[in-house]
Order: sequence, then C-alpha cells, then structure tokens
Amino acid sequence: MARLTPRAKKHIDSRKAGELSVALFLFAFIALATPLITLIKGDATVFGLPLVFFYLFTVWIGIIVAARIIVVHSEPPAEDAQRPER
Amino acid sequence: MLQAWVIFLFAVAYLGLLFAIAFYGDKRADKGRSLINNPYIYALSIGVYCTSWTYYGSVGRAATSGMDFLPIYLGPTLVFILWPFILQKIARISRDNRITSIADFIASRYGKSTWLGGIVTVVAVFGILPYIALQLKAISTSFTVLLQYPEIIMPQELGKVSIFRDTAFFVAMLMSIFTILFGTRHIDASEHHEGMVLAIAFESVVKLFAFLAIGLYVTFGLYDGFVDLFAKGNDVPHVAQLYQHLGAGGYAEWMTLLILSMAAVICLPRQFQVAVVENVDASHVRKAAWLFPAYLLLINIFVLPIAIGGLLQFPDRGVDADTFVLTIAMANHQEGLALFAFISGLSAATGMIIVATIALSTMVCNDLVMPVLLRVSWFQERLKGDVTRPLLGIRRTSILMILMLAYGYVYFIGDSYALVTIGLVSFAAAAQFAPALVGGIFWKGGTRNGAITGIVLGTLVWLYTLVLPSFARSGWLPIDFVKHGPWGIEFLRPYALFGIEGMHHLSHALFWSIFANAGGYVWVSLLGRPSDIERLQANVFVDALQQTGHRVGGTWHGSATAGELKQVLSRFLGTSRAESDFAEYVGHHGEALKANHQADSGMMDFAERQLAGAIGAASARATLATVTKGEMVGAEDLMKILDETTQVIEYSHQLEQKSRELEITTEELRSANERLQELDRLKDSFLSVVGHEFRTPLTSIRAFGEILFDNPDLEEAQREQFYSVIIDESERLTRLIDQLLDLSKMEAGRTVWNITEVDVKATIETALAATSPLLQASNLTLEVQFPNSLSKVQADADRLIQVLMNLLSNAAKFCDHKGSQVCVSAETLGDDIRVSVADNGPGIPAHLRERVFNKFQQVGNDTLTDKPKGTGLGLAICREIIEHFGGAIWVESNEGQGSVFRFTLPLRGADT
Repeated sequence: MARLTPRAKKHIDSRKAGELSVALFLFAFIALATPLITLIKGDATVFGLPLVFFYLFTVWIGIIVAARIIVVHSEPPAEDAQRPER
Repeated sequence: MLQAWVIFLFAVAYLGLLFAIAFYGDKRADKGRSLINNPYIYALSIGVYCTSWTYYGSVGRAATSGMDFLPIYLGPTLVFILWPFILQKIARISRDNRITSIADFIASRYGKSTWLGGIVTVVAVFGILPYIALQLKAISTSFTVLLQYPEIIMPQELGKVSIFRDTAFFVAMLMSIFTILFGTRHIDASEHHEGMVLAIAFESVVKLFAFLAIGLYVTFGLYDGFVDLFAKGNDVPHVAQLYQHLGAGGYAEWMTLLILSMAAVICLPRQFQVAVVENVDASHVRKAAWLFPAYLLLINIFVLPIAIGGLLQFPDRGVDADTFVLTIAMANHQEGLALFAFISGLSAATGMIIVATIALSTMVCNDLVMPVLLRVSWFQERLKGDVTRPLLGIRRTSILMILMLAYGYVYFIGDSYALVTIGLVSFAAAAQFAPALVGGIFWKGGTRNGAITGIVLGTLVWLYTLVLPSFARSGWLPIDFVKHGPWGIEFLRPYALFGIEGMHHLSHALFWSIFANAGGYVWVSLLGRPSDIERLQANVFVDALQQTGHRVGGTWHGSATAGELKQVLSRFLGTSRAESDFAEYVGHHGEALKANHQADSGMMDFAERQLAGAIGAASARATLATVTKGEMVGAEDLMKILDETTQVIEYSHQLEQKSRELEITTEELRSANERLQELDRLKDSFLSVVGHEFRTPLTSIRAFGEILFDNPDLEEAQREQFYSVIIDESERLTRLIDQLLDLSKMEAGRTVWNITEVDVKATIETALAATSPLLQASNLTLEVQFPNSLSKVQADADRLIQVLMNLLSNAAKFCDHKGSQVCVSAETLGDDIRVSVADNGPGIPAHLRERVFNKFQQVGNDTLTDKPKGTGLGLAICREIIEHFGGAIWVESNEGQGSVFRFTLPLRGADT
C-alpha cells in the first residue's frame, strides 16, 4: 500500500495500539450503542441532511479514520513484518 | 433487450467469469505467486458478509423501519476496532493449530472434543441452511422480477411459475460445481482456497460498484442530490419518519441488532472461513480493521436514498421494497443498470453460497462424518489404504447435500414467513457460538462440559423462542402455542418467555438464548473440573499471543514408529505431501529418520497437527490414537507439560527476585567496604598519633635518663629537677595509657556503668571542690550559677564528675592570663538539664569546634612547645560518657572571646 501519510510517522508500539483500540471501541460504543443515541432524533437538518443520517454516518466515518490512524502508525517496521506463509 | 435469454446469457457469462478468476487465482498460487496475499483482497473477501440479504434486504428494511438496517454493519465495525484482541488472536491460534473451521476451533479449544465439534456443526448447518436457501430464493425472485420488464410485477402476484424453481435449481447446481472445483482442491482444509478467495473478493467489488451505481443514479440522476432527495422525502409523512429517529424498533432493537451482528461477523461459519481460515498473513488483519468497515460504510451510504427514492417512485406501495434496487432502474427504463443490478445481486448471493458451503462441508466432513467413521470398524479396516479419495468424496458429497437441502428448503417452504425472517434467525444461531468462542480465548476456566451445556441450552432456547413460532406463523404448527403457550401455560409463551412482554421477538429470543447459553457455560465450567487435555488446550489458546511458536513439549508417548506415522499421514494427505512434510520436519530438527525409529512426542505432535489441518483436531487426535495403540500421554505427563510453562514463568520471577536481593546485598557490601576502608584509615592515623603521643614523653624520659646516667656528678638540684621531669613524663604516659584503655573500653561497650539517680548540683559542687587547687593556681575567678532546685538525672556520678573535671581543667589550662574567669552554670531546659562551662580564653577556631572532640585533637599549634598539657583524649572521653547518658556535648565559641562547653542530660535518663 502506498503511504497515504506524507508526514513522518510517529510510531505506536503494539501495547499502545491495543490501548488506543480499546479507547476507540469505548468511544464508538458510547456514540453508537448506548441509549444516548436515542437523543439524536427529530426533523432538524445539518447541511440539508437529516440529523440522524448525518450523525450516524459522520460518527462512522470518524471511527474508521481513527482506526486507520492507529493501524497505520502501529505498523511494524518492514523488516520485522512476518513472512507470509505459503 | 431484457429478454429471458439475454439475462440468462449474462448470468452464465458472469458465473463463467467467476470460474475463470478462481481458476486463474489457483494457477497463480500453484506457481507460488499468490494473489490473495494482499490486505485489500483479504478485506474484500470479508465483504462476503454482505449477501443478497444486504443487497436487496437492507433497502427493504430501510423503507419499512428506517435507520435500523444500519446496526447490522455498525456491529462489525465495533468488532474490527478491537482487532488486536479478538481477530488477531483468533487468526494466530488458528494458524498455529491448523484450524479448519469454527467447529474445529471450538472443539480444539475444549480438549479436541468430538462431541463439541459435532454439536457446533449440527447447530451451524441447521442455522445456516435456510440462509443459503434465502440466497437461492433471492436469485430466483430477482430473475423473475427482471423477466417481467417492462412491467413491474411482484413474484407473489404471478403465482408459482416453474421457471423460478429452475433458476434456483440451476444456480444451486452451478454453485455445487464451483465449490467442488475450487473448495476441495486440497485435502488440507486449513490451506487456503486461493481461487475461491479471489473470486469472492471480485464479487465484493462487483456488488459494491453496482450498489454505488444505483445509489448515484437515484440520488443524482432521478433527484438533485442528497439534499433534494431528503427534501422531497420530507413532503411525504411516512417517508420522512424513516430518518427522524433510530428505527421503528427503537433502542432495544437497535442494540439487539448491534450485538447480533457483532457476534455474527466472527461466528458465522463463512465469516470465520474468510477472516480466519483463509487469512494468509496476520498483518492483513490490521489493515482490514479499517478497510472492512470502510467497505461497509460505502455499501450502506446509499441504502436510505434508494429506499426513499423507491418510496417516492412507487407511491401506491404496489412494489415490494426488497426489489427497489432492481425496480427503480426498470421503471425508468435503464435496462443496462437493471441488468447490472441483477448480476450484482447474483454475485452477492453466490459469494455467500460458495463460502458458506465450503465452511459447512468442511465442518460436516471433519466434525460429523469423520468422528463417526473412525468409530466404525468397517472404516478402520479400510484405513489401511489411501483415504484421501474417500475423504474428498465425503466433502464433495456434503457440498452437494447442503446445496440440495437448501434448494429443497426453497422448493418446499417457498414464500412462507419462515424464509423472510431467516437472515436474522441465522445470525441468532451463530451468536450461540460467541460465549464459547470468546470465553475460550480469554478464560482458561471454560470447560468442555460448560461449552456443550451453553451451546445446547442456547440453541434450544433459540429454537423455542424464534424458530418454532416462525413455523407456527407459517402454518405448520398450531398457532395456539404461540398465543397461549404450550398446553395453555401462559408463562411459557415463546414470544413472552417467563412473562417478559413488550420486547421484539428477536430481542426477546437473543436475550433468553444468550442468557441460557452464557449462564450455562459459566456455571457448568465453574462447577466442573477440566480434564488434562482441556487445561492444556486452554493454555495454548488463551496464551496464544505470548507464545513464541515453540511448543513446550509433546502430548504423546512415542509408542509408534516414524514409519507408522508417515503411513498415516500418507493415507490422509497423500504420499507426496507426507514425504514433504516429513522432510520439512527432519530439516527443522536435524534428525535422521528411519522407518523403525520410535517417534518422539515432538514428532507425534507434528504429525497430529498436519493431520488436523486435513480432518480437524478432534478427528486427528482420534486417528493418531488408533496408530499409537491408544497410548496417549498420561495425566501426570500432561500436567508436567502444563507446569513446565508455569514453572518457567515462576522461575523467571524467582530469578528477578534473586537479582534484586543480590543488588541490595551488593549495595550493603559496598557501603560496608567503604566503612571498613574509612576505619582502616582511622586506625592508621590513630596509631601514628598514638605513637607520636607516646614518643614525646618517652623521648624526655630517655633524654633525661641518659643525662643522669652519663653525668653522675650532676648537681643535686639539677638532678632532682631531672628526676622530677622523668616522673612527670612517666605519669603523663601512665595517664595516657589509662585514658586510652578507658576510651577503648567505652567504645567497645565493656565499661561497667554505675547508673543511679544523680543530683547534678551536688555533682558539680564535688567537681569544683576537686579542681579548686588547680583553679586557684591559675588565678582565675570562678562564678557559679544554679537555680534553686535541679531535678535528678539518671547517670553514673563518678563519670559525670570526670566530665566536669575535664572541662574545668581545660578551662583552667587555657585561661592563664590576667582577668581570666570561668563560669559554671546549670539550668533545666525542656526535658533536659543543660550544664555549661564558660571561659574567656582564646576561643576555638570554627574549623576545630567539632574536631576537638576527636581523639588526640588539641587546640593549638602542632609544635611541641606550644602544645598544651594533656593527652588529647579528655574531650573524646567526655563525649563518650555524655552520649552514653543520652545527652549531647558541644562547644560554642567566638574566636578571641572565650568558649562555652555545654552538655545536656535528659531528665528521663537514657533510653538504653
């Protein structure tokens, strides 16, 4: 995969990646799976999009971007990467 | 252009393309240039999660109940975020143990139990078969709908037309061929089906593009973008309410779907197959953690717009929302787009069918048929020959059986209620594996019996609360039992078990089945004791990420020869594969291999794992047991292996402890050594000082002795003077030695102290009386200041007098000028009595104030003549005495203005 981040990468070790993943999971869970989500309702619009639709997809995109940041920055150096099996 | 033969031709062409891609993928793999060793292919292949149920059903769901189609895709996102803990661990375990399916995984975790593997397989087959049937039905439905072009007629209005059945049947047959061709190429099921995975990834791309194309067409072709579409939707109340809240089911259903999909994305056999068994490189999991959720996001972004578009296009609601993907394009005469949509629906369905069938057939073969065959003596007889062919035969037969059963399901059950709801019912069945699976990789205490209890209980509850009622609603069971409970027992009503009412059927069923499942699993696990092999496997699975890949030891006794092992492998894996496996083993371990060699436990383990890749862990163990004359490692040996790991950990803890202790000891030794060196230096300087002090009087004595000896005719007066010098010096020497002995005794703690209650005032008076001749001789004035009463202290009176006399004589010694005065005072200060002896002598320079209490330290020049009389030990002795009493002694002085020696004595006495 081409490096999509041109900036020098700040490396995250695997333990830290685990902690960040849990933090992201908790955030995602709170944003999408607790009764808090029932607060998002009504006919309000954001940029012409219904609030519910806008909220769900924005949060979802945010989660995916955050997950990608964790993954990209925690990648092991190329020489340590596991040799694929046959 | 949408005549039957055109549609048919395109469908066949598409499936042909699929075959070609799979064939190409396998060819590349054979040449060693794998195409699926790529995180993007991996993430796309996981996209098999999106079946025709997603493709057609999501829009239908969105059109009827709003946003709650979405949690089905948010759940997997949540699971994939946790990849370092869940997916990566499962993938690692599966690679190390050559796991072939989810049944194999669970069976292997709980002591390679054949029973557990069988139960998981049965549940999976019954749970998933209808789901496969649903895919076949979707294909035939979409085909029928497309066939009516340019009319838009729903299939149920057409009645039974024979061609539906034929489409479904035709597809089922084609899928059987595909799956047999590309799913059973290798006997080793843990090896990757490269061609199949490549084809699935391709299908994921097709269905994504088609869905995006339709979405873009509806949103930007038929309407003026999202804002316009939603604005038009707002004008229609039943459309607007779709996106103004979470969904028709509210939070409870939202949460239920989220949990179900979280479980399903790992536990559905086809998801386990693509995400775990087909995983080539554990690092792909890391990339898929965001790629797969991104895929889901893309395929879902237009679901709601298409649903709204459909509802606006067909305001009379004559068109089933499940067909919007097709019918919107048809209604607007976009023939190409409609055909593309149909082909993509086909691809979504076939992808699921292929992977699910491979996963199920592997499970059926390895965890259901093999264990039974291995117990049948007829089969054991035949075990003597090559069994790779029968084995592949079993797998191919089971593929055919599964697809024919699925087709039968469509044929006989058809349009019933049971089929419509089956997607989520299947999810709920797969969710029954979640407690045993997740518990198995995090909790060492989970046992085989616990897992069996959990899965069986959960499945029974699932059957009772979800499947049987849906049968009843389809009319095959009396509906009374749903409404009033079996035999009229109200609290056993399947939709309101134990009186819990008001929940959606699915939420209700999920709650009760997982409650029974997880409860049974944990409870029975806690009550029972795991067998040795269960404990061993629990360690292997739970600690998978901590292991370096090297096993601690084997689990077999070598009562088989290497030749016998090789023979078994050849029978199951083929001769060439067995040869190369053994060559690999020998290469790794560097031992020459003779056929009659006793196989060590490491080799047995190796053979077992190779075998497990083909026929599953449980069957492999059973097979090997027949060769080794049933001798497995005994309980004690197993425990030894288990303990070895714990021991290594324990041992390293002990080492750490020891090394910490060593560090502390070293530190202590170093400081002791420093102290010793300091003492050595002190001793040297002490000796040289003592020598010097001794030498001075000795020199005088000797000099005067020699003069007297050499000059017998000295004058009387002079001789007497010389004699007196000799006597004085001898006395000084004696005093010096006395004091030295005294001091060393004190320092060594050998002095006998005579501690009594001492009146300080009386003691000072005694000391003053004893030193008065000396003081008078020095011509100084003496001042004494006492309060009227002074408390008594605990001390040795004689020693205290010694201290006071020493201080007084010191004062007298240094105050030999005119106008000298010495002041002795005593006062009570807090808990102490403070005694001071002040003079107005020359004072003590600041740098000497502490040192005067050291041995042989005297104030004054070091020249012999200027040296004051005294041994230089007096104050050192004073300090020893006062400190023994628990007090302190120090000197305050201003140079040129005299000095004050003070000491304190505690009123309570020394603590000693």
